[in-house]
Amino acid sequence: MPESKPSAEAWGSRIGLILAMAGNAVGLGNFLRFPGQAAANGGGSFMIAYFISFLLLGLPLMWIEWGIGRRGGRFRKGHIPGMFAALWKHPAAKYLGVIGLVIPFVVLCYYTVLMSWTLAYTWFSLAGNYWGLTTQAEMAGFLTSYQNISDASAHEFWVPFLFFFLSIGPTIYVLSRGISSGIEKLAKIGMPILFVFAIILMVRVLTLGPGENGVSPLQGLEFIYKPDLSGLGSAKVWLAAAGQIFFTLSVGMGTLQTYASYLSTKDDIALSGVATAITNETAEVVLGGSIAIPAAVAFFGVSGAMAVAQSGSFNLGFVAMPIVFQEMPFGGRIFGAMWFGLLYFAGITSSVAMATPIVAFFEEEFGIDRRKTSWTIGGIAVVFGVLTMLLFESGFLWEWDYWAGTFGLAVMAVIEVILYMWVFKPENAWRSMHLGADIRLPSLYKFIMTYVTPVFLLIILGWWAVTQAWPTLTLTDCPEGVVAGALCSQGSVIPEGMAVYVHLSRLLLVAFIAFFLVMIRIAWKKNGYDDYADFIEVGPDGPFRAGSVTRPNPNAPHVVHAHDYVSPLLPEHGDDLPERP
Amino acid sequence: MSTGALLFMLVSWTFVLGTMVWSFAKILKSQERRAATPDPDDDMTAYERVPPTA
Repeated sequence: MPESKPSAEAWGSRIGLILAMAGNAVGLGNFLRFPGQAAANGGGSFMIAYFISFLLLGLPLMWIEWGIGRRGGRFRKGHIPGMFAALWKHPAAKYLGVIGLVIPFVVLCYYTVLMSWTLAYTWFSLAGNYWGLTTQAEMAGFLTSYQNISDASAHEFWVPFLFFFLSIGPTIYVLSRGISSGIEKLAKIGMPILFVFAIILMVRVLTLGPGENGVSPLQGLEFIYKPDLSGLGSAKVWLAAAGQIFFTLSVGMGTLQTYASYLSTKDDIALSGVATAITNETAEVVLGGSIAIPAAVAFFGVSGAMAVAQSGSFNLGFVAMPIVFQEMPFGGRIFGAMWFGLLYFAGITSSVAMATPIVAFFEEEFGIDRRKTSWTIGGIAVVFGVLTMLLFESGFLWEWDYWAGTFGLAVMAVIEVILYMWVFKPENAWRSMHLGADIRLPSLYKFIMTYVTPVFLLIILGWWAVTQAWPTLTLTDCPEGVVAGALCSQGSVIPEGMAVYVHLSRLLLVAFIAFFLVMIRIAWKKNGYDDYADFIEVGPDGPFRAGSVTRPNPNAPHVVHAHDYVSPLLPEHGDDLPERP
Repeated sequence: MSTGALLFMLVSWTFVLGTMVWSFAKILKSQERRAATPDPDDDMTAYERVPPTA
């Protein structure tokens, strides 16, 4: 089997890698979704379920994705179709991996739009554009006018496009610079700024005096952390907590695997996986939980803040918080800019990650230069990003968010856990995770990863399929009190005549799947891969035979066929190493 | 803030921050160790380094 096009990409430092991984995980969800979910699901009960889910679902998935990624990297496969094919010698494996190309691409298209909102609001805060709009209705109107291009009541129609282009430009540029000089550099700059902004905001919020209703911001912390076991019997609380853990760590996206594919078997993934997950948790629990909810509680009271949180994460961030900043005794504009600035940094480190699996696919399988691939994918993302902005009112963006950014992630996670822990076998997976490891994972986790995590995931997926996916698919997910026959999606009524755009968004999803399936087929044919044989393992300078003492001459043409590949060390199919003595 | 909530918050934050400090300290220590004792086969992969009898 001929080798793939080599890539000289690598991480410059371990801290850089962890910051990039954490930057991928830390996103808008840490500061917007988490506090909203905690508030809407009973605070204390949610937090208990949240930490248990972190241990049973989050950490195992983190190690599994790092393991899958690094194993793919041994064969210079930085994309999910290749990684799945490296785990399962079956023609279907590579096609299953299509999900790992479609999801990041679709999410990239709309996530950059959401990111552009944060950039715009950073400017609006500095310029004081929303100053004077001190009620939730007024701020909601300001936001709606920005989101709906046709509504020019508060913004000219070109303003959202300007911020979109200003927002996606740096994403594509960083991506085109590559792993070490682009993504790693961004993480090393962006993550510290994000943490500094978040710490300043947290201190400012927690030192605010009681608001007009006499409620202190500490009451917000009281609500989140009040030990309450009553909700632990509720499936809703558990599913919300598990769902939050799932989203916050960016698992099921295909991005962690691509980042890990640039590691070698002498690099640790066990400890690095813990460091990445816990950095994300610090951003979420310590910082994310101490800004929006306490601030909202101080200004709107406990019941008011809960009502805002339950109306949606974006309302908390884009409607409630700007009102809080206006009420601050001094520095409101600066703190407002910091809040939206930190959301922007959280967003850009995630959006860059989303494009990497697709860039890796075209770079490795078709030999297309990274710069060209990055700008081409960026250009396509701009086209679809503009489309989501034009059709925002119809729910086009939220449709993609649901199918690719919510349900699709769970499907992907189920597939990868089954492939890695069951098809690849737990023993091989366990050994693989410990190659080059700085710590030994507790043996209990082998059992958890093999049985508990997949069952947990299947329950979540099944629950979502019944309670959300089916009503969303049939456009019957209506809020209470809506007249019979109305078409709704995700609890909102679809405006009259707009349902066609919802169908268009679904049609496009199917088209993306078909496109990437065809590209996978072409790549496999073009490169002559044999579905039932191993890929050629790639050393620092090219492919080598396992167990060889000297590496092959990097200048020599490498025409190594699959049947020549003999591993004296390993079980059939050249799986991972035995443990180190 | 009630004592129960304060305690739960302290336990949560200690778990998160403590694990973060522990993991980064361990990473830095590991980096120092790897730098102090460079692997003679550093440019080769672990795959090549493990003897077949291991």
